[in-house]
Amino acid sequence: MTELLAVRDLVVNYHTQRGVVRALDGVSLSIGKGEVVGLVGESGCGKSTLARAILGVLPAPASEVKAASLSFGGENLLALASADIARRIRGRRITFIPQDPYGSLNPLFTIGQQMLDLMQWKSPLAIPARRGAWPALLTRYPAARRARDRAAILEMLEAVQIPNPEQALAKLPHELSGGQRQRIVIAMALLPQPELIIADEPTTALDVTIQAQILRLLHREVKRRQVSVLFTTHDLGTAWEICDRILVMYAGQEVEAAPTAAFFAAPRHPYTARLLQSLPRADGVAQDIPGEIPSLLSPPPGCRFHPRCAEASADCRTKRPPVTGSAHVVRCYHPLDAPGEAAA
Amino acid sequence: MAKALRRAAAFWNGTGVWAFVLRRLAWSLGTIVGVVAVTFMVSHVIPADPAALVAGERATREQIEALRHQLGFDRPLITQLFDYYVRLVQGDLGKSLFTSRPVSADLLSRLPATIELALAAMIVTVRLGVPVGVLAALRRNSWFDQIVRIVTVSGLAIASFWLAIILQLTFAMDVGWLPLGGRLPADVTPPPSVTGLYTVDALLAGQPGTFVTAILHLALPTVTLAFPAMATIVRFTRAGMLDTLNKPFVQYERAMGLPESLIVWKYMLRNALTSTVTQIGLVSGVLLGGAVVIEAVFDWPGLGYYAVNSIVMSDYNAVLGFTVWVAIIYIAINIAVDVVHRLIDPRSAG
Amino acid sequence: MGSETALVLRKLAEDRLALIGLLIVLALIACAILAPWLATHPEAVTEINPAHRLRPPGGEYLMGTDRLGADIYSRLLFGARITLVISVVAVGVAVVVGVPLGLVAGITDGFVSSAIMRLADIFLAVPQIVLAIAIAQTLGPSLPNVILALSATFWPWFTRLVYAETRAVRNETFIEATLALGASPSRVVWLHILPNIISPIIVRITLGLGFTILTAAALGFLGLGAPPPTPEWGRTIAESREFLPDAWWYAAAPGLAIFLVVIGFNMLGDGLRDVLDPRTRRTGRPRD
Repeated sequence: MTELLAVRDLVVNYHTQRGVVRALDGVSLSIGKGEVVGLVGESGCGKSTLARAILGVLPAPASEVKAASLSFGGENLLALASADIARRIRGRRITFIPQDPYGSLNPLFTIGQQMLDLMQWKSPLAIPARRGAWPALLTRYPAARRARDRAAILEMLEAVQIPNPEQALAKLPHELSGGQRQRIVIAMALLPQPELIIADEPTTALDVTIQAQILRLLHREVKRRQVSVLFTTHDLGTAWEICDRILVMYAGQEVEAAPTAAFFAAPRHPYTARLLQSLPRADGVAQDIPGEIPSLLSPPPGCRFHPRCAEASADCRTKRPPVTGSAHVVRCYHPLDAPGEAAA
Repeated sequence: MAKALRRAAAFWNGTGVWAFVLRRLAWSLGTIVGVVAVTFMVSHVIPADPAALVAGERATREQIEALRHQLGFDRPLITQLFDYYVRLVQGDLGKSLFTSRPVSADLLSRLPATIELALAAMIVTVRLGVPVGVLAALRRNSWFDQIVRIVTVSGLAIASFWLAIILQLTFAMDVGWLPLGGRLPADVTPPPSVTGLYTVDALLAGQPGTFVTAILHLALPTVTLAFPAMATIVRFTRAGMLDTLNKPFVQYERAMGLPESLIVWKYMLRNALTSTVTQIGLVSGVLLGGAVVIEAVFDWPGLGYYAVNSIVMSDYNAVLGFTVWVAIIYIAINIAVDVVHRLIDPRSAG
Repeated sequence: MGSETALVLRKLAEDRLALIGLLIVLALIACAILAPWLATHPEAVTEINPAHRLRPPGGEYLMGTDRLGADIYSRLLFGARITLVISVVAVGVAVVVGVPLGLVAGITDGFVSSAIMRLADIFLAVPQIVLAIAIAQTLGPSLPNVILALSATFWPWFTRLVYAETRAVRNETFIEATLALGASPSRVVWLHILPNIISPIIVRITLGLGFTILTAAALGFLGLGAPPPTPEWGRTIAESREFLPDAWWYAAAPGLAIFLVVIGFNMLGDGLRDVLDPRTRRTGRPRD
């Protein structure tokens, strides 16, 4: 599989009034073409930060982003000017599905207005604006292209199963249900025909029954189009349903990455193992992980999980464990044994 | 018949803009009846002897009595009030005791001057106030923001008549860059009246020279009138933008790489303006009230100038008529503001 | 309560603008009280000295003299008394009338409540200064009449504010619970509703004082204030007009005094609002 996105040793620090928040502590990640990768972790573990760092939309003066490399489709995103990323990459080659369908659509504009504005700038038919071009507000939307884009929008709304697409375009966000709004933003993520979609907990805010529908829809549409997806979630069950590969994060560090089947068959990091045990099961036995998630203002040195880990040794308390394994990767000095992979 | 009534009721209670306007108009009618009652009471009950007030200090007892009868002050108060309502419906506000012309005619002939001034001030206020508020919010705590803050705080603290005098002192009296007052110099004939607004009429008549002169005369009164109003608009636009800055939809629009100018001036601004628009009603009150004083300073022959003269002459009919007119104009503006608010924010319909 | 007041004061002290505003207000009060001692020409209010008329600032006369040869600086100090009395009494009367009406309208339902709010609507349907002019004109120019005109036009603002706040508080569960426990409504008002709405009232009073000073000055300017020889600031500016542009100090000094005092009340009011009433923050700082 050809590699589409490769992130190596990404570090993100937020400078706040109370001190430096070490949100990401050298995270590596790669996504192949057409691959759906699940980014799993508890809230506050840095999933959203990672998603936003790749998009390049972290709040500018307060956050500091460093990485050994951040390449997408052969381009080094770190070397590009942010205006350039906004113009050529964001919304075109990488699109975004937000977490909160209720707040993410502008409440004062119709669905059609918002979708057409997106298409004026991000449609596959649009030529990226030149640098320092005519102000966007004064730029004309050529009528012929607008008509073709509008047809594409209607077709896409059909595909995401919005009833009466024509009527939906005239509606305001608050006139649609949460599930319908989420279908709209999924449509908006697919319309520019991107190579990668970053979906930030796209179903968390929805009812459980609707969650499943939306997940199936998203899975079907991206697989049909061969689009890669980075899918963040705190729910292992959701990840299991739609992801090809899973990467688990804990307190700003990635701890384990593996193909979905292998991951659920035999987790190798003590944290992931405990996480799987904490899922409610048919026999009713669920075990919580003792201890609390560390503060990212003063995270523990070495492996950030060590204060809660039964296996922790002296090394764990001082040094970040190296990456071991090839397909099933784990960052731990004391990984649990897995068939076919030798523990380091 | 019953069907028609039902349909009328459905329309009345519906969410359409016209039904909304009609409901507001009906509600306002009651308010105007109340305003007239209050101002009528103020001008007829408080003075110990209104006829004596009207007649002046040198009038004899017989003259006062004759005037009392002539003005109907010897009849029961409630009858006088009722008469006033009846005449008001016909557009009759009584005769001015000073010009001896109908008050309505006096007010009508002075209305265009005030409209021209208020409109100019409103345009300056919105055209300048909104962008300044947006930029101040985007560059929060920058030197630009600090200057804007100082200027807006000053705008709400400065006495407009004093500002008017200082502007005259600076730009008109010594250096003579701008005229001291009036709408046009005495030797310039006003353009043929179409709208009554000299600037517009001059353009319609193809008189660019008159247009420029009219604009120069408008400049100082407009700035004076717009300054405090602009302070309010800037503050609310700035606060509205700051409130919108971190909204999820703005983050989403950024994450999708939409052009920044589109996000700020289209998507964020409309959200910020929902609260600013509600202030425009209040601001128009400031403009109307300010016009009274400012027209007096600049000899601007509008409603306010007329009102101040009437005050000096103790012309109670004219003062009462002016107050009623201002109330009606103010209520009409507020209805218009509510309609605009509904257009900007369709969620508020219903 | 004691520690709460201390907290409010401490937060206020951190707000530079509010602190400056407080200092200006205190200075105004000091000027008003100490006018006879601070004035260089305490007799200036009544005395006429035509030989010294329209002297520019400097030397004997800090801010120059007026058309009658009186020291403008001294007249400003005595004018501070008038300004303070007008604004404090007018706003005080407006509070005494407006707040109880708002409470009654907020707590009760039905005819009384809607009658009060309709009356407030009627008074608010005319811009304040226009109604104040109409009232002051019929009453005739005098100090009490100016005050009456101002409070008669300012009370509905308090009624509307208190009405809205009372309605908001009334719907909170703890009020329902207290009433359900059998507390009398008047007890609920004094112990529960009033303490909860006092902050916005204080803010509105502070900002209202500045606004009232402006309106009072406009009335004085139009000749509807206290009659001469009262050293009222607005009237002084009106007097100065025929001597412009030569006697610029004649207009500048009282105008600056009005500006400074109003800006003081406004900055203090804005600061108080930030501390006391976080919902309607002036700066709209993002919540993080």
